[in-house]
Amino acid sequence: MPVSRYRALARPLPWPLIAADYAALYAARSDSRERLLARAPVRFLTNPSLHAVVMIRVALGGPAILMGMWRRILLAKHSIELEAGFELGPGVVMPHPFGLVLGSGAKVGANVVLYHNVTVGRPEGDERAPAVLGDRVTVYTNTIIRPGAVVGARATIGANSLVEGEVPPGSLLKRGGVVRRCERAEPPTGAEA
Amino acid sequence: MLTIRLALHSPGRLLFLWRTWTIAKFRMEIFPCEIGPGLHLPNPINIIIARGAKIGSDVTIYDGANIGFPRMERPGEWLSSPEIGDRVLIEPGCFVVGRIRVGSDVRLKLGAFVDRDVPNGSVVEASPD
Repeated sequence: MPVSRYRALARPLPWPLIAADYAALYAARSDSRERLLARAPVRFLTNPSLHAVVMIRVALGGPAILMGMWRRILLAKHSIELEAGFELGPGVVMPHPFGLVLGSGAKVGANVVLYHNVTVGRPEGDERAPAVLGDRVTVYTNTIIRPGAVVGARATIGANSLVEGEVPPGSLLKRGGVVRRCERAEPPTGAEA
Repeated sequence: MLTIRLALHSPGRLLFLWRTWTIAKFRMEIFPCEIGPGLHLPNPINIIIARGAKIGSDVTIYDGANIGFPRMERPGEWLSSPEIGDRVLIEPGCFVVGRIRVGSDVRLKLGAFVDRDVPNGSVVEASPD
């Protein structure tokens, strides 16, 4: 099989997005570009967080007919429920890649950190807008983000929270926080605005 | 249980294999840590034990327990991990966060969030906020 054939196989993959995810996951190490590239093959083979992210990228970027297959694989290996139509920005980090529910229609911005057991719901019926997460949002464990939620950029959502309404940019929602619909979260409490 | 013991006693280079396996089978992540004898996991699912955590003997950990957050804040530096004494009961959904010391014979009740030291023999309730 000539090399050009391999290239044709690799072309549909969203390489820029996968590269952004890889860089975001290892951003804390501040590796040089050469070191990032040199270590990439081993890391992509060994790191489960990268496995999950790459499978999500391939599933979302690939043909719709394969979505069911990817969903089964993701469920079996990572317990991640992924629905078609979920919009995921570049540079997502999943420190513990399991138990996520990524519903269709939700929009997630760039450089988001999603911990385990996070649910991003899909709209039910016509009355609800999809959930929108801004850039650089961090969502901690066991949080449910329901449709209609709007999380501003650089916001942090603590563990065990329930978000239905609007969270202002740069704010910190404490653990167990609840933001109902048509109601704004508390003004930033101790967070860097 | 056996998986964890094997993972902790295997060379560090094989951590990725155990990590992939525990995620796929148990939805658990166990990073290199010290666990005493007699660990009991009644529902071995959704458990995270951070790098460097110290867990005493005869500890019972239920599902959904998070012992430390093992994510790096700065390059080359791991978030500090807690130290847990002997005969501790950690009920489902508990969070134990930060460089703290949980004493012996402690019971962390359903959904408790602990980010400060806990004396011996106490019971920690889930705080309302």
